[in-house]
Amino acid sequence: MPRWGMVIDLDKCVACQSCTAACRMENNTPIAGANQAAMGRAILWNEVLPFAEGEYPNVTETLIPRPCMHCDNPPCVNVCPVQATYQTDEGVVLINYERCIGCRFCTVACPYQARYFNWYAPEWPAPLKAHLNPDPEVAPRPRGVTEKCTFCVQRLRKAKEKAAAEGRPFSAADYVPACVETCPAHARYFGDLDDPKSLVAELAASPRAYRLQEEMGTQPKVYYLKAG
Amino acid sequence: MRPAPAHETKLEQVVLQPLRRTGPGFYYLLAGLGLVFLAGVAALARQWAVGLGVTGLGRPLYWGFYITNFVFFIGFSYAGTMISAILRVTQAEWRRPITRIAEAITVIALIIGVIQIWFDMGRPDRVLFLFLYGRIESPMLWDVFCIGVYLLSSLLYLYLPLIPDLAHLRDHMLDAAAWRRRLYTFLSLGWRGGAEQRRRLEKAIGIMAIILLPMVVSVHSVAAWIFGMTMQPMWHSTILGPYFVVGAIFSGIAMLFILMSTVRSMFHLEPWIGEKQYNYLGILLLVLSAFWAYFTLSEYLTTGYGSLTDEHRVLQAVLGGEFAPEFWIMLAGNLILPFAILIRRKGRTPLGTFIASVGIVIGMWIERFLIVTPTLTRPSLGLLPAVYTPSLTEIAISFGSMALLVLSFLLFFKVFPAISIWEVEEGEAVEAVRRKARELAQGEAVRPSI
Amino acid sequence: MVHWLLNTPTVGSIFTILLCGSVLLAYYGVLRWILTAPGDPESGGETMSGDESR
Repeated sequence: MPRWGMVIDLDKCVACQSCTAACRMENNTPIAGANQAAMGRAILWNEVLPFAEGEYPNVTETLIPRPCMHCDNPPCVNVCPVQATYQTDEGVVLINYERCIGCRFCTVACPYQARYFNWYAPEWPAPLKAHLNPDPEVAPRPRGVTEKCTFCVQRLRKAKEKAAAEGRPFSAADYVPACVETCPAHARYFGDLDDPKSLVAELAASPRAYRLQEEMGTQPKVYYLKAG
Repeated sequence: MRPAPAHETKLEQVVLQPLRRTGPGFYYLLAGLGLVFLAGVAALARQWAVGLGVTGLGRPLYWGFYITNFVFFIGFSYAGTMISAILRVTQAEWRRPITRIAEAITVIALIIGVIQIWFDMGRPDRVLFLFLYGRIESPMLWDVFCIGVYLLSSLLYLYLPLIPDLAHLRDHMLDAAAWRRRLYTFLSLGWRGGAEQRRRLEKAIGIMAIILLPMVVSVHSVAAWIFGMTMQPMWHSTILGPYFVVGAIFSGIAMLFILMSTVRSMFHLEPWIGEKQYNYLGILLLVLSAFWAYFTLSEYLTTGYGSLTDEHRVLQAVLGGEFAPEFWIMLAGNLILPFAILIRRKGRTPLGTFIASVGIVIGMWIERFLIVTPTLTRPSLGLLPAVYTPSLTEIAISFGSMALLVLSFLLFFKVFPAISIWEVEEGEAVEAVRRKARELAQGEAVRPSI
Repeated sequence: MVHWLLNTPTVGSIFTILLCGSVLLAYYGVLRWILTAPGDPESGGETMSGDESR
């Protein structure tokens, strides 16, 4: 059983937000608009977040792309009262939109702010609406439920179906999320962390590798390679 | 049924008066509260039609007024059990005229507290999922079963001492409206008041009082653990459970004072609810104010002395940041005002305690707000602080809920007697026997010297 | 490990229903116990607050 994980090389990342845009097109996240975004209501499964360090005048700002960490020990799954959010055998944390009651306990419990809430019914400008991803697994979520990055599970399903149709065994290289595929700087790597020969496992073991808020004990499966 | 007796005791006359006649003043009050309540209903209807977007919430401020209200209202539900159960267990005689009021607050505030969670839900239509798909591991579910059991128990605890009074109403309010008579007959369950029946009732009430005490602690600890079980700064703290319990008793007694004084002057209950109750409860309020201050100090000092960045950010927002005005109002209402007024015996009057209690209720709401919000503006990830501006919808629903609390409380006492008649009469009988015994003892002591 | 049990949906609901159900049942029993007290239901026919305490 693979254990899907991601590595983001901050030395290569140019914070262009292509990953955010690709994610949006792949996963049909709604457009909140400027006013709503100012209230913190933009839904960006893969958000490039600014972190300021130091005090004026010696401030450095780091921009870090933040997908869902798909923690091995996910606090969101623990607190959900109805198991609307759960972890698959392959370690991916998913949400059952038909089950979610919108209590937002998970959004509050997630130390990475990776979970987003549908404050209104989803909306798109007409041109965008015509180009929504038709995959039923990413059908627009109803108002009042939580959603977040899924490592593009629909792509995993498709990759497995394709391999089966071609009569060959499914390999980890068949499956890659939209953000990884899009990244123009090749800063993102994706694969099976449990396979010691895989590139992600190798990079995750590098001395530059670290994870966000590791001290929380959430054991994220998204690794960063330190810049500089 | 027998005809009503020609004369009632003064207690019965006064206590039953509001059930018989309603003055215009009461209707004005009802209309005023009803208006505020309806504004809340309208705001809620709009929220359910449009979505939670009509609130001022966003990321990372996912929770706001509703969760604050949830903790706040559930806090009031302590009044009943703590006052009524503890005083019953310790057999404090002065409790008798106020237990009914305290128990009514418990049930009403608990229900209003619980529905706040419903207002906060993105999918209110799926509220039953909590009962269909509940997971034990989630602290939210601990609330579901703790509050469920507590609600059932406090309902029974309110109901048991009501039965003899209901039977009295059934037998003596023959001139009342038909629905009232039907209600009293139904609810009194054919109570006849034989000696054994009465003994069993008192025994059951005594047992319920003891059972309720641990339940009360569980309900508020569990409410605190919703926050405490997450890893957000200032929430992830072991003190949160006891802190919530103390705060709840504190605000519960304050609410009891406010509603007790309202009912007392409205229904002319001064002969029974008097100096003794105000004095003793006033002292209790002072003690709890000190306890609350101690818990607050422990929490803030421990956080402040260390240098954990995330926690410091939150603490600084409260002490010196945008939440500082609220913090000082909270301190004034919860500590300075009660001590200034209640420390002297002369201050523990109905007016004095009323003012102090209003201060405490406001202060305790802010306390809840300061637990819920500052942490969410500065969650552990370390992004730029968020700003929370509650929307009109949230304000309207909050005031509507408060209006609903007072409204249901007043209406409850239009249907049921505000003072437990049989318990007060029993108390008077006990007192009479004691007085007689004292007289006899004195007589014996005096005789030889003659 | 019992974790799967804690983690399974509806287990909590069953627990809640059992708990609340048994509590309800117990309280119903208390009420019945009080109301079926042996004694003199006919002799008095009056609530205790009606005459006994006077």
